[in-house]
Amino acid sequence: MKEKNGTNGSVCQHETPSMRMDSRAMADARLSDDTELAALAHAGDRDAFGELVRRYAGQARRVARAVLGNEADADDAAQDGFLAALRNLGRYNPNRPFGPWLMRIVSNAATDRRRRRKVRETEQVPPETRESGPGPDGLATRREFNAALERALATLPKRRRIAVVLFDVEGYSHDEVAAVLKVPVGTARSDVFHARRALRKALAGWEQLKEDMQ
Amino acid sequence: MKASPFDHRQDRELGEALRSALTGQNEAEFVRRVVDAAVDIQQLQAGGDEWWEILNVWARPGLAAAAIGTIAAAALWWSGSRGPIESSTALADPLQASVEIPAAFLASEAPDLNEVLALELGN
Repeated sequence: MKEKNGTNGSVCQHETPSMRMDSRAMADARLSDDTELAALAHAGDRDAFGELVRRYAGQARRVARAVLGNEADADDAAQDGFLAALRNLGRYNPNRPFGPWLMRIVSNAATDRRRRRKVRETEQVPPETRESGPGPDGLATRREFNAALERALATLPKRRRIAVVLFDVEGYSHDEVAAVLKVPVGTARSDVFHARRALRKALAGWEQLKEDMQ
Repeated sequence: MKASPFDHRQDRELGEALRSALTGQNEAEFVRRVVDAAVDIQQLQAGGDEWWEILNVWARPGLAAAAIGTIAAAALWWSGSRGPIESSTALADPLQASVEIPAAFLASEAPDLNEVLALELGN
């Protein structure tokens, strides 16, 4: 059951027990599915690996982009992550969900790439992509908002960026976020909380633009 | 009700905004690129075994070679330890052989130096 809230138009979802059971069953099915694909990929099945890449490409690219802040580097890091996962599929524990295991590898790959990039050059703040020209149309407003959001995200510590993206974008639980970040669950909760608060604060001036976009 | 950072549920509004900001373009091309790169890795993996498998294959020949080496080294050491005895025997042979001693050296008195020199030059 979805409910639209009055004050800020946010959508919040109240789960009923039957919905929780459904989502649990779906998660179990997904776990088994991913595990089978991982086993097949480990045995050399290219199609199985391709299917895993298709399933997790979006997540991996977003997590890498949250760490690196630019699309090209993020794609390179996400690719590094997938290939590292392929090489290490023998170490994957099939009793654990595949997503957090993969996202940990991807975030490590992105962190490595960020470290190397820092050695080469001082880190660049994402460039201003504010559109010039006549009054804001929907697309330009969307771009401005996205750029502002990326800039706000870039001001957060890396762990908080990953935490909020995994939790609020990818739908990971706090336990799963903690597993990806290798931190206690309480720390993962705190990271999500602080990241949300900072992003909300940074985007407070964009309420009007959000309404224009909707 | 405003979304609170304390909320244990997903903040869908923020999530959607982040998704829109962070999602890259052309996902199909990215997938193809990763799968192509993976083919090279899988070919490498198919061609190369793990290190312990390689060691396992080489274990028996390695042990045999080590045993042969040990035997050869022991044989060399043993023959080396016998070497000096044989060489001293070899040197002793000419000394032990019967040699005709010149009469000058058998005399009770010291021989004249000229006779000794003459004997040596004569030989």
